[in-house]
Amino acid sequence: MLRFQNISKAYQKGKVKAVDGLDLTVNPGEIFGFLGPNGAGKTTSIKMVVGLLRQDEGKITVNGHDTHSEPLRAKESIGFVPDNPDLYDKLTGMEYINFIADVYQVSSFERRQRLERLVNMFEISGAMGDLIGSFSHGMKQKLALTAALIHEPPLLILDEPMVGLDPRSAHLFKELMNEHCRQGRTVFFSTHILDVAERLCHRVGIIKKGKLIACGTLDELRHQVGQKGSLESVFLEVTEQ
Amino acid sequence: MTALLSLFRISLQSYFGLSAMRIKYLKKKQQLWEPFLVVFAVIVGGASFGSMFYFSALQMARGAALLGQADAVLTMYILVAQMLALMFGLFAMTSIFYFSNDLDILVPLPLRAWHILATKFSLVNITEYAPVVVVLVPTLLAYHRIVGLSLVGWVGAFITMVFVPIIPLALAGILAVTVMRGVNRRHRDILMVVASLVLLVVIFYLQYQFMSDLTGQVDAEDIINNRIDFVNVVGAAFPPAVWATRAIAAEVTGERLTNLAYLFFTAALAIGAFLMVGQKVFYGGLVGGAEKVRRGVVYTSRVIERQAVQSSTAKALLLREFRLFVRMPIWLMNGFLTVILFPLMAFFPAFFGATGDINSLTAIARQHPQGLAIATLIAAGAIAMMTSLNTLTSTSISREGKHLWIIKSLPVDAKTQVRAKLCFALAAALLSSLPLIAVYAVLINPGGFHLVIAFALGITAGLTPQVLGLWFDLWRPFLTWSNPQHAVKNNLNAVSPLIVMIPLGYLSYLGYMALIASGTTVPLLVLLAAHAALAVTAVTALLAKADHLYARLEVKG
Repeated sequence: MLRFQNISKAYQKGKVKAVDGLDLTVNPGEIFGFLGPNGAGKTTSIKMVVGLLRQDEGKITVNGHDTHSEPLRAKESIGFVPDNPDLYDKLTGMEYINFIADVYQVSSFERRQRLERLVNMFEISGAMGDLIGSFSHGMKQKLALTAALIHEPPLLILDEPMVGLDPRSAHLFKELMNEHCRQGRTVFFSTHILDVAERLCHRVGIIKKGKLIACGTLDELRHQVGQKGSLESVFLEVTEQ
Repeated sequence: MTALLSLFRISLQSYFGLSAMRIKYLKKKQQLWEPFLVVFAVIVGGASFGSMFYFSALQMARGAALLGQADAVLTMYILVAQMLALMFGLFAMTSIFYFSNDLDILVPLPLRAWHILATKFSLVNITEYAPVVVVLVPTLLAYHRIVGLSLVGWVGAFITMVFVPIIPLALAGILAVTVMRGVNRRHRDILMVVASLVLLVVIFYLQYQFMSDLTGQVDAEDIINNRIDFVNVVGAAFPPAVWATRAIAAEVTGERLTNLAYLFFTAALAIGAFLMVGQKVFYGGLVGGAEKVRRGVVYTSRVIERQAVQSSTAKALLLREFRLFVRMPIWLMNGFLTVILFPLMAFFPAFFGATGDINSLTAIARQHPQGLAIATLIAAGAIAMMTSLNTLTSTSISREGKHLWIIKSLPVDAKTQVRAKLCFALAAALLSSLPLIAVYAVLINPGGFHLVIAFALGITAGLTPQVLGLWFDLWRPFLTWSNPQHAVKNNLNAVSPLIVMIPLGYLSYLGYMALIASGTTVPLLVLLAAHAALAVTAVTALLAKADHLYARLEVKG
């Protein structure tokens, strides 16, 4: 579903390598957690997938489409929520969702069905008619998630999705991710909350200084570092090496 | 005091991007050509406007010097600069006080309201020196050429220029904080637009009334016998303009110093009044704006069914452009200021008594063989100038700011996005040119053919600069703005269409003069065809480059 092939990205004329030779494959139906310390290259990698940054080297394919040569086909398969969902303050929630749904050409029938379920699940039905500028951070996050899911994308990409969500919404959202995967779709998300990754992800990848230093199921990672602890202890062990 | 200085220093660095520039150009040495481009654009833009002011001031100074009244030219242009500071200052003040994204950081700090007000006032004041310099330096050069200005006079002139925008800006500041405190928070955006419009109309009306009274008061015999001081007459409505003139042009140094002192104390008084009013009402207005307004509509199945309706991608993009622009009062007012100003400038003389002037204008247009054609060219030029000044395309990508990630991550090709932006700009140009065409029809009554030509020529001639403005903004967007006014006013891209428009206008004039022997209709039709061909070429070229330009835009940070 998502494949990074020898991806590199550098800033400041090549002086700072943000991502360095990243090779990674995320399979259909999988929830994949992308972990790493601050500044490891998680957000840069995600931004390259969704077209916000261009890679210097390598190839990224989404649902079989090269993000460089077929960017629109690749983007059609993605639902994306960035780490800080800056949405249009001067649009209402409903106007924003309609805009996104129009761009993805979601039919009236489908958007009604999906929207009703999502706004009720995230408890934002009372705010959809208000300007987004009046939303709290958590509500913006919920609206961004609703927009990302409105076209039922084969690949959901989320950068720190749990930030700003209240416990109930976070729980619902985890349920939603599981459901998304049960339907054969894929979730690729970055997080610092290792408990969530441990309980939710089928596999995780750990990135440090732009390089993928570990990747696999929790058992595989435990085996790799030779200890039986939690994901947190595995993460600490791997990133301190 | 330390807090105020510290706040001023950090605000200065943030507002003008000094730290970012230092790191980019001095430390990382990236894109070193950019400062040169900026300097070039400033020189071209400044020189274009400056030359306009220089030649008009020179003409006036020559005439006035014959009557021994050359100083009145200084008074006149100082008033122009102050009027500009008042008009632009009103929007700048409202934006920086109530829509800045640093307010969430500043308000919780143990700062007094006047600390924030004084700092932000200083920032706007600094930016307002640009129009002051563009108006007054050419005026001073013209005055110097006719009358001669001593070294002391030049020193006085530069000190005076420091004070010129302060008093009108303080008035704009008082108006901004009072309006924002007064307007209902539910309809704040629309009320702000309405209040600004009313204020503009009032300013124009008062100015027009003043000019009418002025011409009524001045007797030809008094002028010939040199019994009237034009400086006092022109500056009667706003005495600081007289003091500024005397500070520059007085023959005795003592008189210069006295007038400088008047200016200094009046400016201090104006700032004091602004800070006093601001201290009382600023936080109230700010809190009013920050309070959440809930419409209370619950999106039940029924509401969703009614509102969740599919439309085309193109329509969605166009609607988004429209909504985001018109719902931001600062953008709306900046973009459509010229739409209001040009017709107003023609409207007041036409409807408030100067019928003699209008009749003679109509007579000239009708009697001169080229009269109607020239009037049509002027009307078309005004429309083209108006659309070139509206900033719709030239700040289109910049206005996306931190929301750029949305359009970049959507599966919509760059051509479609560019088309949506151009369609919106074209629709706005068509709509906004209607008042001007209406004024042209009422004033001159040129007949259907000339009205259609003025409309079509104005729109097509304005399209090429707009397309190139969007191209420039795609190439070098200003995305890191701190408030909406910053996105359009402190954005050099905003003047890029004008830089294209001025040489295009000059070439059109040369083209018309070259074809003038072929009658009145042919030159207009040839110009229309030429501008249409140019606009089509520009649009085609931009669409061909759109994918590349969009791909270059990266969302870092």
